[in-house]
Amino acid sequence: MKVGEVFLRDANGFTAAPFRGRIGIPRALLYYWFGAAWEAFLRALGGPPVVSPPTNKSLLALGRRRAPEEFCLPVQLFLGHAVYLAEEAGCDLLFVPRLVSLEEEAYTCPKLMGLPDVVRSLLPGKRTMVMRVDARTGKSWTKAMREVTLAFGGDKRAFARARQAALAAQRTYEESFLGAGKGEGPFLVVVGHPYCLYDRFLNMDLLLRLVRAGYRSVTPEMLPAAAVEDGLAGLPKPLFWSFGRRVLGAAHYLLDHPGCRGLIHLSAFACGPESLVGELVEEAAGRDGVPFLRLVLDEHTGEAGFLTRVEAFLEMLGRRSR
Amino acid sequence: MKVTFPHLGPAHLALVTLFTDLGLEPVAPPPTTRRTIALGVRHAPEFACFPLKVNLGNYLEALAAGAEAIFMVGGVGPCRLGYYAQVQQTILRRLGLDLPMIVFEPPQRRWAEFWRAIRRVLPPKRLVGLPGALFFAYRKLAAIDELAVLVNRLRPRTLRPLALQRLWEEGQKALGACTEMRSLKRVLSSFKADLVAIPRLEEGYPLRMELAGEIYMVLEPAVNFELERRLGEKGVEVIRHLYLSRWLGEQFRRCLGLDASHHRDRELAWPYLAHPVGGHGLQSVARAVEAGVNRLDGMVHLAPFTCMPEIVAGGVLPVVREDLGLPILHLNLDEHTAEAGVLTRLEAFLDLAARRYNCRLVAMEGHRVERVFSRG
Repeated sequence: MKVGEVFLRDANGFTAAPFRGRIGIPRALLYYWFGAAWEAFLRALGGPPVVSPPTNKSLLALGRRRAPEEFCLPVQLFLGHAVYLAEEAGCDLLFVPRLVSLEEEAYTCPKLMGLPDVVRSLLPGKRTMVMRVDARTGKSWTKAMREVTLAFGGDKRAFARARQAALAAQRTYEESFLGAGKGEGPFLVVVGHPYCLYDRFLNMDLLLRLVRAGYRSVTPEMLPAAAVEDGLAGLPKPLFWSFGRRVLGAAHYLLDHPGCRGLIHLSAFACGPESLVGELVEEAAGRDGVPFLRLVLDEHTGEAGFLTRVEAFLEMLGRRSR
Repeated sequence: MKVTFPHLGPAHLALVTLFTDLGLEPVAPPPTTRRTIALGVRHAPEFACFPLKVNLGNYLEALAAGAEAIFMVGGVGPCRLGYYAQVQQTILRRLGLDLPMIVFEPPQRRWAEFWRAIRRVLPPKRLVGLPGALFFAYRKLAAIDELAVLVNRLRPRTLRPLALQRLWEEGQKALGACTEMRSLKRVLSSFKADLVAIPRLEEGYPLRMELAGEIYMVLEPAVNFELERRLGEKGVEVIRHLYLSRWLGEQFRRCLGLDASHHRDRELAWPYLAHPVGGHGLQSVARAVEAGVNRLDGMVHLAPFTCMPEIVAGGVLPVVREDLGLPILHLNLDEHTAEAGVLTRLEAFLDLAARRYNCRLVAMEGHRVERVFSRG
């Protein structure tokens, strides 16, 4: 069985027998974009998965303590969640996606490509369920889901049902974002990777704080894909990071909008792609004369310092509009 | 057109020949110094990787020397190198330096586009000479690397390290100055003979260590504190797989679908890293496995700070170290790295490796060879 072989190789120690037991999904990294679909998929296949709790201080500390120090904060957080699931929540199996490429001619990030290997080196002997998605080689979500179904001992019908559930969940999730993006009047553009924007602990509830301060904010996920592509049209060379594409495309697209009041770029300490994409975003904002704020999140970020910067930026915006 | 390019080990020698043969006017940037690095760091994004910053310093110094265009390589990800040129151009524009950048993108099956890009830079009558010029530049690099392999073998054994170093530097210059194949061969063999003639210690075996990691940090002595030479002079035979000519040859063969080294590396690294992660991440892990099973005495893993592929490699290397009993020194270098710090760590690492080596010798003489390396 060819697919099974591929799966065995990648999953390192995953037996061919159908799996029964507790499966854990770390609530970190791209859980913030595909998590609803993963959960729905695994629930349809077997028992409900265990999802780690939203990031908190102790999970962050756990990640910082156990992960290799050079990794960026979001990956360290992921490893913290994974260690928690394996050692404290008693999960038998960890669900670790290997998202190589989500669209043609673009990657996610080297750290996401090697994530299962890093988890394995950190938790030797722990079984991991690897879901590899590589759109460059035509290994789409469907193929990846079929492999996972096989590992669970599911048949064709189980696969079709689980796939339906996953796609529906993803569609609902994405539509909720598109709905949030609709609205009139002036707005702030907040760009960054999904796990920086929607992990409320990591960014200290930035989006909610902006709403409280009376600003409507628009994130890349609130735009239809066509708008992002539109924003990327003028690039000298296509970007090859999927999430960088979203950030830069959304920034370009929204900066041309007359309602745009300011641009906030949210990135994590030691994030590779964003160090370059952020430079291009800043340049675009400068060209259009839009106020720009760069926020870099790390574990030392004190709430007071972070909020002071945000408040100062908002106050400056208020003065400008007067 | 006066064209400049960033430094990468011995690449400038070959590029000058190549551009001259193609009728362009090459301006090699002045050698990379602390000043170059400071210049690049001042203008580059804070968290950009180190090579981007040094490149930028090279450009700025070369522009001061009269360059009018910049030659740079591209890439298709996920390593950041692929977008260096665009970001660097943005930065240069902000500094008021709007000059053309000739970016060499790997063809990636789009041969028509690749061909058009070449045609844009080269006038038609120069195209005839392109294959010959490329081949000669490649052979020049290969000759320099051949000399480097020899120097790496001789260095730990030589009795006159200074004379060896001087000869190696002269050799690079002389090979760089060659303009035809015949003189290249003659110069190479004469320098090889001179190097071998330097008196050396014949007995004993030096420590053998792999030098691997990110290509720029491995190849560029100006940013890695001349690690290769220092290791050699401390009595270590440096074994390195990353030579520019070899790497270019592999890339070329891979384009034609003829290169097997990539598959071999994947097989080697697979138990620890089951998927390529861009850059030289997978190769670093493969080298560690190779060094481990071949019972080398250690490996030095070089990476620029925040290098994504090497961070992933560094994340799994501790397991390789445990499994194969291979001491690994992981050095993360950038503009803030102090020389004294690196040297202290290097010396401590060599002390440790030497101790292990001696233990092994003792064990072998006592016919206790069942466990050469301990897992401790």
